[in-house]
Amino acid sequence: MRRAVAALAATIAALAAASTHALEAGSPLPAITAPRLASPGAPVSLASLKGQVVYVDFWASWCVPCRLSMPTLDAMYRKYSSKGFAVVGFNKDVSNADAERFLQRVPVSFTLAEDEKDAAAKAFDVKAMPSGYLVDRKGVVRKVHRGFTAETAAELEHEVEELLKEPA
Amino acid sequence: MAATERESSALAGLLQAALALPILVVPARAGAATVGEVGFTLLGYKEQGLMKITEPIIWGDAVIDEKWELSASGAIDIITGASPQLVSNATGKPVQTITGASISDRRRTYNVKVGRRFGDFTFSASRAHSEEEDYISHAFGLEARWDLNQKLTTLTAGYGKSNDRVRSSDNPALDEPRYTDEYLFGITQVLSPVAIIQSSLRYARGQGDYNDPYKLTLTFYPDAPPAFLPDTRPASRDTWAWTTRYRRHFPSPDATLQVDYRYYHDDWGIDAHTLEGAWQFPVAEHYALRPALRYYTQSAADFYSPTIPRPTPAILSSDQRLSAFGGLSPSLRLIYRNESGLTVEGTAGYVYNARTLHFGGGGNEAFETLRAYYGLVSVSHAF
Amino acid sequence: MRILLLAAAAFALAACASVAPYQRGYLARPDMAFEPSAGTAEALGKTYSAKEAASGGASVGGGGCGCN
Repeated sequence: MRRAVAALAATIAALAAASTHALEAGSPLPAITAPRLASPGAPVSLASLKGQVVYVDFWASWCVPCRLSMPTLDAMYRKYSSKGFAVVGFNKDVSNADAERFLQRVPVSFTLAEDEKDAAAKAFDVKAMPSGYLVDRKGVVRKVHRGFTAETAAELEHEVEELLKEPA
Repeated sequence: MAATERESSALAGLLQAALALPILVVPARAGAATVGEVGFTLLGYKEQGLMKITEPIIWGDAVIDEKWELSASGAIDIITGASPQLVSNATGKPVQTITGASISDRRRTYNVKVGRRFGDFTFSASRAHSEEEDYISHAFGLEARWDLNQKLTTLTAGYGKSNDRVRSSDNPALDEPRYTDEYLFGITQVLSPVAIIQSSLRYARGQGDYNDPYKLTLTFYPDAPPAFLPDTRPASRDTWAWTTRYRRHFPSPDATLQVDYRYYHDDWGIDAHTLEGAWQFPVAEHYALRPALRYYTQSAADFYSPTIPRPTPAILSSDQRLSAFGGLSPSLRLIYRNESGLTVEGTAGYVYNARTLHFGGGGNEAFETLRAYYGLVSVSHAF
Repeated sequence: MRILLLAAAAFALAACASVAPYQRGYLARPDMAFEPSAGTAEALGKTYSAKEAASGGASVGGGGCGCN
């Protein structure tokens, strides 16, 4: 009986420890480098984007709200990229073919990256799909969006405009 | 009958209102997160020497804005051929005999389900209707779903009610009710990134007319006049069904194992086990093949007998669907899926029910082996 | 017996914790669903239950039929 209670307590402690690393507003942007999604070229480096307002998004072909978030982010990227706005979309599909199938119906023009070993997802402590992290020009995470609705789209546009006004 | 009509029209009104809401509120916009599917299925079923069924089904479902869930389907069953009506031991052993003209019947069914998500909870209401010349069924259901644990665990609870009317095309005077209340509780649990399991328990209690109006038993005795009894069953039925389904994907062969098991028990004395295993694997770009094998075994109802014992009991049925037998059904499905959301599925199956397949032997002597085959094609488009 | 139950609960909790929200790719596959397409499921369900005494699956409110 005592052994079972000890085992249960140890499990709960392990679970608690796993979730204390939370990436919320105020945290610095994790310096992740990742290969581009299904295309050659230099890997994507988040650290190199310092000085711009960055939105780091985690998406997948099986994520239903991504049907709304991806075109919304694409529209925002086209609108604000000249003012220093960058978007990096980390794909969480198990196969690139699934990602490509999604992109055929929902094409985007911003940077897409792979995250096969879950290094980025773990560094950003992704708790929902999609998850978006809005980072200011100084490399500090200012807002985390979990899930994506029409309200999220409106809020995000407003937040991006505000952050673009801030100096690097 | 009046209470049922009022109840069903009130529910229909509620459903109509619910259906109207999302259509008004959600404006059509590009990239809207609406997912859904519409499809058409055609089933052909043929028993050796007996019944033939053709059934077209039209169906669709949609999830609007991750908040509203809708699904609906409609089908027409076209039944022709023969169905055994009399079990007689005139030849010495009890055998099924087909008497009278062959049947020709059409059954129309439809069902609708509407659900609304509130955070981690989803509440749904459904309505089903089935109508044929000798049987009418109205049913409604309520379901509550709770997503826990970051959606790794889902709990489901449901309640359903059916009001049926039993008639007979041979006897216009027959018009009896049958009422059923059903209760369901289920758990779905994600076990790993490649495995998921679902287990549900369904309890139903029903009362009313369960007799099959077309079936009779005729028994000859060597030393007494023959006895004749129409199919007579208890006026109530309590059933339990426990179903567990397991799905496990294997990334290296890119294949999935599907195993389903159901244990059934009712107060008529029937215990049944159903076990189905399937292996779905890719065969070419866009194509997958799914061979499957289903095994079924059931014990006989307490009041099942192919001959009438003496003295004549009050309750007796010689319908072999209530006897002890087992069945094996292999099937093969070919699935085609392309990038634009088109899916075409073709399934072919063979049904073999026999006394000898009863688990552990001991199937009822009078069970006549059933051999049937079926084919179905399903075409659907996902949007 | 109680040790077994607690161990099972601990195991279940540990098993739950090992799947992150972004690791759902395989579970979203159509062959990982519990039912085939709606039309196929409806057609097959009735094909077998019309010849057997057992009935009932994972849903309620489906109504009955006079399958003779």
